[in-house]
Amino acid sequence: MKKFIVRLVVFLLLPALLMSVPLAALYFSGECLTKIDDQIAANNKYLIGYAYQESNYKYLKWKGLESKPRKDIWALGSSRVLQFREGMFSSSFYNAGFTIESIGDFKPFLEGINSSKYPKTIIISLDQWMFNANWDALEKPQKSKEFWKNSFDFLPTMGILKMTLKDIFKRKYSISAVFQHHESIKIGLQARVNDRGFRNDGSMTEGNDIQKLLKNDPSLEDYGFRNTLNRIELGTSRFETGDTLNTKSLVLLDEFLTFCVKNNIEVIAFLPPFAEPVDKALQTSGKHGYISNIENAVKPILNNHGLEFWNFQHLDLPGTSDLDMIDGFHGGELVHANMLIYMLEHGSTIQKHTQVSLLRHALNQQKNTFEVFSY
Amino acid sequence: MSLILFSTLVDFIIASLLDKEENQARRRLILWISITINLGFLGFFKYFNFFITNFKSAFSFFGSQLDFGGLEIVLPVGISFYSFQTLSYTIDVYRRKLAPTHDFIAFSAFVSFFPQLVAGPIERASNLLPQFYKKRQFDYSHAVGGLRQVLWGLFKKIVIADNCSEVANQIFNHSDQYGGSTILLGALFFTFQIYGDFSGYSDIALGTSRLFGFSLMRNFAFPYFSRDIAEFWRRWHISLSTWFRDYLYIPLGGSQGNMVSKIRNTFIIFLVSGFWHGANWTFLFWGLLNAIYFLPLLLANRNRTNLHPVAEGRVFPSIKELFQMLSTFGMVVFAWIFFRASSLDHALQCVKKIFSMSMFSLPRFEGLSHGILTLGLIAFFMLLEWLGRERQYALSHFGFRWPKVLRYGFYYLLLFTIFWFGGKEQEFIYFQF
Repeated sequence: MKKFIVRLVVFLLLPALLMSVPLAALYFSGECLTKIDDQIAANNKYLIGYAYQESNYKYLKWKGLESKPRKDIWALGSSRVLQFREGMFSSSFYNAGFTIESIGDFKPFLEGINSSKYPKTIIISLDQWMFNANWDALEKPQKSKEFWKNSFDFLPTMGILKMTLKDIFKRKYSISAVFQHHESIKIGLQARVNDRGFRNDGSMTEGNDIQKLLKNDPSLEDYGFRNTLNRIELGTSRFETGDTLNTKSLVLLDEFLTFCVKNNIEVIAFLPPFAEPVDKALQTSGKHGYISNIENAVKPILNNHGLEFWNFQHLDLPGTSDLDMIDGFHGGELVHANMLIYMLEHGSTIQKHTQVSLLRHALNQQKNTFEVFSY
Repeated sequence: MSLILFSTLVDFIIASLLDKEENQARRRLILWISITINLGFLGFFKYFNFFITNFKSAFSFFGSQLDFGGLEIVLPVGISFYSFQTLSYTIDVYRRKLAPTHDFIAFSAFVSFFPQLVAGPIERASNLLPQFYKKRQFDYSHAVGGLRQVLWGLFKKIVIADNCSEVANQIFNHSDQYGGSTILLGALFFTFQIYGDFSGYSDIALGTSRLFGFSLMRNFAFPYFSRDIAEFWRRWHISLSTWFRDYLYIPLGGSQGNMVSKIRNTFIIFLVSGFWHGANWTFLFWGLLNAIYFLPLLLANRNRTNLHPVAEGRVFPSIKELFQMLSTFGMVVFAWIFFRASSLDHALQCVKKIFSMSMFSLPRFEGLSHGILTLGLIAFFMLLEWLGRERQYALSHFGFRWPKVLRYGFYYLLLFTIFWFGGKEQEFIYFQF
């Protein structure tokens, strides 16, 4: 037995040595084996950006709402609300984006938060694919209200170790960047290496990708919206083809709105924008017929509850263009600020939380085409 | 947990009763109690909703609407496997082929032996139970062999099955968007996925058991090198095939008797085998298709012609053997389409596309480059399988004549391949059965 164990240990030494490289990178960057509760609770400025532990963001947002004082207004949805910033509102604000995958997630997410923390208003993004009968997210088992609370992974999986090692070999991350000392708090490989991640207000900065966008760098993943257009052509990755609306999603939306009204939460819903070539490709393909039916089906549901619905799918807001899109289906801060201005100018109740003058002032001092604020 | 405990207790008591009882009629009654309980649980948990749905469909076909739904039943893990394992024990005791055990702990360990509990091999009491009585002593070569088999099982599962499943899922889940050639490629990937997945699990189970000093029965014997369907079924999921042979096929009369009974028995065994896999018409049709493949061999009395490994003692097969292997493999791939499809309609749509002009276009799907890499890994895997086909498993004696450094280097290569080229984590397919 002793001989067997000794030989086994010796045999496993080499793989263990190899594993220690990604493990060290993950540990020292804070990607894994680092708790974030203290950082969220404290008021120090931080940037939390994971490369492989994206499910931790769900916990981050839940904890951000649970552990901090109540906020007046939230942005809630997928990654397509992440460019709403604290500075765009005169009321207290938190961006709870990147927590919602399908319509069925809205209600359990709220139920998972203590009701004393509920806001007065929630801006929700209704991503077009959430209404596609052929998109399978609604077929997955419904998430429990504990889902977000239990989304934090402390330990790395074998898959994460592998990806980290692969990316180090591919020089996606330089070891020196991982170990580099930063004045501010940066947790996670994306935050440390690419300056990409979530800020204290829950919004997201694209970090170094913004510099690439400004330089029109062809190495960008969705350069010229090629990746999004390819997804549309293949009918995959949220761009599945479909002609009919998912009636289940409409029922779930109604349930969520009923819940909000009951809890005195005002909901402002919007269809998020696509870059013009993307919007055009979706229309001309003739395979995404469900999209054109969304407004007619969803608007009455919101109106029945006395709530607002805005359709920003076609990016023709004044002062914005494709050049302000981060990629094919994510508008930048400028796009989001202009969406708010449009709402205000058309009588939205969002005026309780922001003013045109505030937004215009911010836009006049915008950092660059994609970022309005300098922090 | 309570279910497995109950089954264990029932079969333990029933076997003791069978041993004591001399009256044949009463013995038969006791046996049927065991069969009813075991198959009753299996039937309820696995097939209740299937029967309800089809019952309602049948009524609605005749214009009557039945107003009751199915139940939300969670299938207990491993129920198809341990139910058959305990049944074989009581049947063997009934047949007086096996003396009942009086050691409840040993019997419980036999039913719930962890390496093979959830997905087999379906062990026979006559093989596994006596091993719990013996005092085990550590055997170095046994343990090293066990680890080697675990390594090979992990390679099959993580490198072959998990990579193949990514491609197969992509193609089958979006089959409406793809042409015949792509769907056929999807079926090919699924063919290797299910083999890597299931035989990989069996290797891990066998290897882990060997580490603990137990020998389990072999479950796979290089089935994709079979020269006819009869040989394939002697080499695929051996523990289930032999279970059906011993406890269903032979009691029905097997291949004895007139032509009608031969045909009947063949259809029964393949249909039951298909239905064992799951409550879906796709599995039944898969069983039916295999019965149709098998029947001509049985009727021509050619079902036991290929009993030895192909090209035994040679490196290359003859042209005839190659043709036989390829044609058998082709039939197996075709049958897997029905096994993989989500419904019979889905399967028929896939088949229709394969027999259309789109079969002559180049395959195209999202993740094509990953598919090409996976094909390379499959080629490497099948080469090792071919070289080791006369052994218990491919890696069993591979590289034994090489210098030690080279052999260990090869094991490192396998470990590295598992780590580097392993696919996205997927649950074992047979966990659902």
